[in-house]
Amino acid sequence: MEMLATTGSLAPMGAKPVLCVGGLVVDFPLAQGALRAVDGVSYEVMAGETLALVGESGSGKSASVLAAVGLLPAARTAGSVVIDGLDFLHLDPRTRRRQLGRLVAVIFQDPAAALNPVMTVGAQLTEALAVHNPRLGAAALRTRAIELLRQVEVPEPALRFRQYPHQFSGGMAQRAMIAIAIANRPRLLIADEPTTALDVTIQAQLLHLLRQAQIETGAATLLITHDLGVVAELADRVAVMYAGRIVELGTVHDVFARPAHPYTVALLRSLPRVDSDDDLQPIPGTPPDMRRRPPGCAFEPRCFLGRGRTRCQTEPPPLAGAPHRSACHFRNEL
Amino acid sequence: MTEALLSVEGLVKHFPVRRGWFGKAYVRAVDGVSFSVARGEALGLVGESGCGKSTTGNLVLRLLAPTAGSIRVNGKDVARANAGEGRDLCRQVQMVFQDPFSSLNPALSAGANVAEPLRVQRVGSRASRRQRAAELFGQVGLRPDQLDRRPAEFSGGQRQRIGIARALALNPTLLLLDEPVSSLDVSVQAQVLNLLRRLQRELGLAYLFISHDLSVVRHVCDRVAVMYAGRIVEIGARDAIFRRARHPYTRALLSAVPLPDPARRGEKERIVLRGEMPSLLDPPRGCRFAPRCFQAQPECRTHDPELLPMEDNAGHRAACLFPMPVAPH
Repeated sequence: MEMLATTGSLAPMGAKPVLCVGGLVVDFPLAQGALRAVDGVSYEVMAGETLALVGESGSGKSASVLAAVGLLPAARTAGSVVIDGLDFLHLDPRTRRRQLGRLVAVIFQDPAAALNPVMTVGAQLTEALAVHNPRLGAAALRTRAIELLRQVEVPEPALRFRQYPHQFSGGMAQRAMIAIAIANRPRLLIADEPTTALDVTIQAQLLHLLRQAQIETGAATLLITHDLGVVAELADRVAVMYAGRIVELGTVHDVFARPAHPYTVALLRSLPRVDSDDDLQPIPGTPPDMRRRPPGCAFEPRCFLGRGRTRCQTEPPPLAGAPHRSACHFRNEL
Repeated sequence: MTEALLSVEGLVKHFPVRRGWFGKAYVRAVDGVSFSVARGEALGLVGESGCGKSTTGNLVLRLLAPTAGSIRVNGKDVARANAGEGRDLCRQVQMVFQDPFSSLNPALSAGANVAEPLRVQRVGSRASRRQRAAELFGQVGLRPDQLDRRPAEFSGGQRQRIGIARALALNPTLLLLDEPVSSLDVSVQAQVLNLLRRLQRELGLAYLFISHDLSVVRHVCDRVAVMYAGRIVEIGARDAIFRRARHPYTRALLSAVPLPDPARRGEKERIVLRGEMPSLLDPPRGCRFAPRCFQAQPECRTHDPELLPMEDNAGHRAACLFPMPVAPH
């Protein structure tokens, strides 16, 4: 119980990981040769726990997750992805598809694009239920679907059941997405920038709801986001990604209070905060072009700690240390 | 008192929409908005989608014609400007757009993009315009040897610098910035925000800074106006809004922003608003925020509150019948 108190994690101690990713590599075949979007990423997520993958555009945070569950058919993957004991990367596509929506559910960023515009929300919910519960009758499906809409706090669920996605506001559509995602009580819930498209007062409603949905299902949750505020709000542990690799991994409290990688330190200093007037300290330069990745540490050209040291320029630092891991040769200097 | 650089009075914009077979209705996107921006001052216009902040910006730029109300730049009514005065207004008020990928001409070099306003206004020779573009490149932190590259060769942050250089080409007195850093990654966002602050100081520019992001506004603006459902609900100096907000909507908006600080999770008292912004086709009769307000009284449903001065200082005004007490800080 002590761990629960310090990390706020809902995961029981000694639990087996629901998701186990090892040495995952994701390549996108392009005309000019393969583009390596994810370069050897490993992490685990326990039942009831939320791991946030945080990073900027192109850091590989989405690619690493979507490729792992087979949602990026164009990508070439290597490494291992084990979900609830199933070797997901090497599963045949048919079996893998069957597991989507049951074992694994995804909440996408843009509900307007993810929902089918020519099907009522109710039909989409009952479809999700029926595919995985073939013995449920029409009336039972409808009752269960309306119950789910009520659970995600959609007002007038019986009326909303008959409506089309365009009759839903952005926040309401995202609630419907969450209802579909939790319909079959998945073991792994993936939320890909779930509140990025929403206004801040609606975001506050949805963050609360996501927390509820996770407690309700006890699912392992993988939260993909660029927003450090959302991470601080929702995550138990954080993996910070930069240029296709995890550069820091630890509990949310450790990573924010004692960041162990210069990129995380710099990111927190560059962030405008609504509760502070402190001057912003920008990170110089831009993330590297993935086709011309520096041979050593990818953050070295922008790093305040490396200062051009040969080791940083030539030797890629491994993700080391436990339980607070960092991929920096000189983390003890921070 | 000196005349404001930009002064907006009772601005209204209604968009007609079809309703049913023969019916016609109006979306009241902006419904009685007044504010002013002094020379060298940055005013932030914040609010959520659909609150009317961008429509207000487009009206100021004369991209839309107002249904009612007036917009004055340097005391001159922009609606009554003749062709020559209109040209002069264009020089004074320039624009930085949200998306640096679609707001630059991909067929022109970066330098030609920056010199384009000069060409349109027939300022100087080709050589002197190029000279000016090189100078502007330096001002926004780009290298003059990058003048001949195409926009596609630049990163998002660099493109936004090109957009800012272009806006500065005619030596404007007022820049209208509509979500200028929203499409940038955090590590690059701070660079552009610091650049905007430096330029404002060095060139004595006034900004009308439109954003949904309160944190960004806090770092750039001297004064802030909070909009809700087509109206300004609270306006005041930055500190008045961020430390002593009186309107319940401003309070809710501030409390909804997640802090990047897990230690304070749960400590911060969050006001989670119910429901969503009302339809602007048929806004509520009394206070437009009343249906979502956590401290609405019966009067709020019938009385439309005026934007009235708060006691802390003259410039701080809120449109609420029951302004919230100042929280101890």
